[in-house]
Amino acid sequence: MASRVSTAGVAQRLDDLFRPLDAIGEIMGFAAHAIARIPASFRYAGEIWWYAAFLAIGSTPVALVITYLSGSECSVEAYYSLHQLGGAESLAGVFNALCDTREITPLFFGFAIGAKVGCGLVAELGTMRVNEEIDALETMGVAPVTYLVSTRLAAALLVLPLMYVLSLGSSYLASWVVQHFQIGVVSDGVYFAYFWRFTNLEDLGFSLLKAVVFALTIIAVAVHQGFHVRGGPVGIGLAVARTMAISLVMTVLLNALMTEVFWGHNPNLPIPTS
Amino acid sequence: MGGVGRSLAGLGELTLLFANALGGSFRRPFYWKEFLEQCRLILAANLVPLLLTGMGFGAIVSLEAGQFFRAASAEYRLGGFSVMANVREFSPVATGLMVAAVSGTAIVADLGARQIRSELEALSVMGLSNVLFVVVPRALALMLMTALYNFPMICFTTLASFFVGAFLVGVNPGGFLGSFWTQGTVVDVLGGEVKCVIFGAIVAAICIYKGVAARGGAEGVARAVHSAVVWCFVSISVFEYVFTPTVLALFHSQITLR
Repeated sequence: MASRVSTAGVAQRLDDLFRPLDAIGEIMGFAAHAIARIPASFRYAGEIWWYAAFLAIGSTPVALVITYLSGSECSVEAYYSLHQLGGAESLAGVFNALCDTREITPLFFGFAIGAKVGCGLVAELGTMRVNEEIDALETMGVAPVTYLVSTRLAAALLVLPLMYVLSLGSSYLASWVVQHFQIGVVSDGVYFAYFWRFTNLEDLGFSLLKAVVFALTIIAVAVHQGFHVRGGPVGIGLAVARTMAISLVMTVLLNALMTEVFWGHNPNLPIPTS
Repeated sequence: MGGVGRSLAGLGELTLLFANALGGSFRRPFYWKEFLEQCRLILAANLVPLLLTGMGFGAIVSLEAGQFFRAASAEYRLGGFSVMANVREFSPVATGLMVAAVSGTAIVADLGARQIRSELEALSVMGLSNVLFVVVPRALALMLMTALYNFPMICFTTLASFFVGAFLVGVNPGGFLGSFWTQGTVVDVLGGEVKCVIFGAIVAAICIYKGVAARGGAEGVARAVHSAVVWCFVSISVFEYVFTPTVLALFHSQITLR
């Protein structure tokens, strides 16, 4: 009898352990389903353009502000940590090129997209679900996944890479502004000589790839959570909270993984190593 | 113009609410049970996400800076750099962002749902002060738990940096630990603690205000949660940028190489 209870307990434990994996599988399945229907969603081009414009106008300022601040933070740390190494401030350009392009800007762009676009999607789709508008769409014979989810994915794929390029520019600008106006130790010539020496097309491509992967992950999580909201206003709030947590964790973990894959073996630094 | 005026009015209300919360924490009765319950909720919801983000942040510090230091043949400095990156910057910021994303949103959703169902009015009809029963325990719990969560977060990020540095990048473990312990000081940790308390206060002020100010059904709650998250993230970034140079200017000994 006792052993039976404990086996049931162990099975329960295992179930609990694998529940997050189940959730990830569900999210990926839903996202794959929605992505497969993107071609079918082109008949609702109006919806795609509307959401693309909404993203471009509503979310770009938030992404630009957050990446501007993260770029400034990088530059401040660049000065102080290089100063610590016995007056190597002139290498601030190197620090900023690595910090901005490779790590901090994609990461904070992911946070900004998670907060602004991800939460917005959950709130919007969740409200529709709670007000039974999604069921109404189904009754009218419109496939809700195609009309609501695939159109939004298509719009995000259209707008977010461009938004990321602008954000990268914003963080570069911020890094330079801090070096030039706030700290004022490094001359522009030395700063930009190092900065452009350590910025190359390969890094920019990987950086853009990082940002697109983050954005797609966040949006996949958000549409899944928003589409399957249960339980009234509290349900929407909890779904937003869950989306935020999942997308933050996924962004940071994917970032570490992609850094290792892209630059772990080949640092791609123009310094001759032994 | 109307939009700017409304935002300023909102900021004023938020400040007043938070000042009330701070004043109210010295008034009796103090609802210990509610306070401990909020602490427990924050503790339980944040542990796993913080562990995972801590590992991610620690890993990127070692990967990027380790490669750079190795190219400069100064691998052992990675430990000292990890004090600057992990202890001073990433741990407090990641803790603040995570608490905002996980617990802040839950508080907005909870308070917003209570507000639109007029439960907060019902509480005051029953003679319970909303400020003392609802606002004070949540604000104090957020500030305390953000500050306390900074310590495990420092362990997570630094351990991840150490293991990634030692095993993937190939930094000498002894050199890493040596420069970590010589470079790290109590002021670094305390600076991070002060930062975390203020992050907790920012999250508390924004999230409680947005929750209490929610209007208009399910859509109103959803909008409140959404805008609370965005404002928390922007405010945390702004404060982070202002705070670091200020501390480093006040405690000048922190920027020397030991």
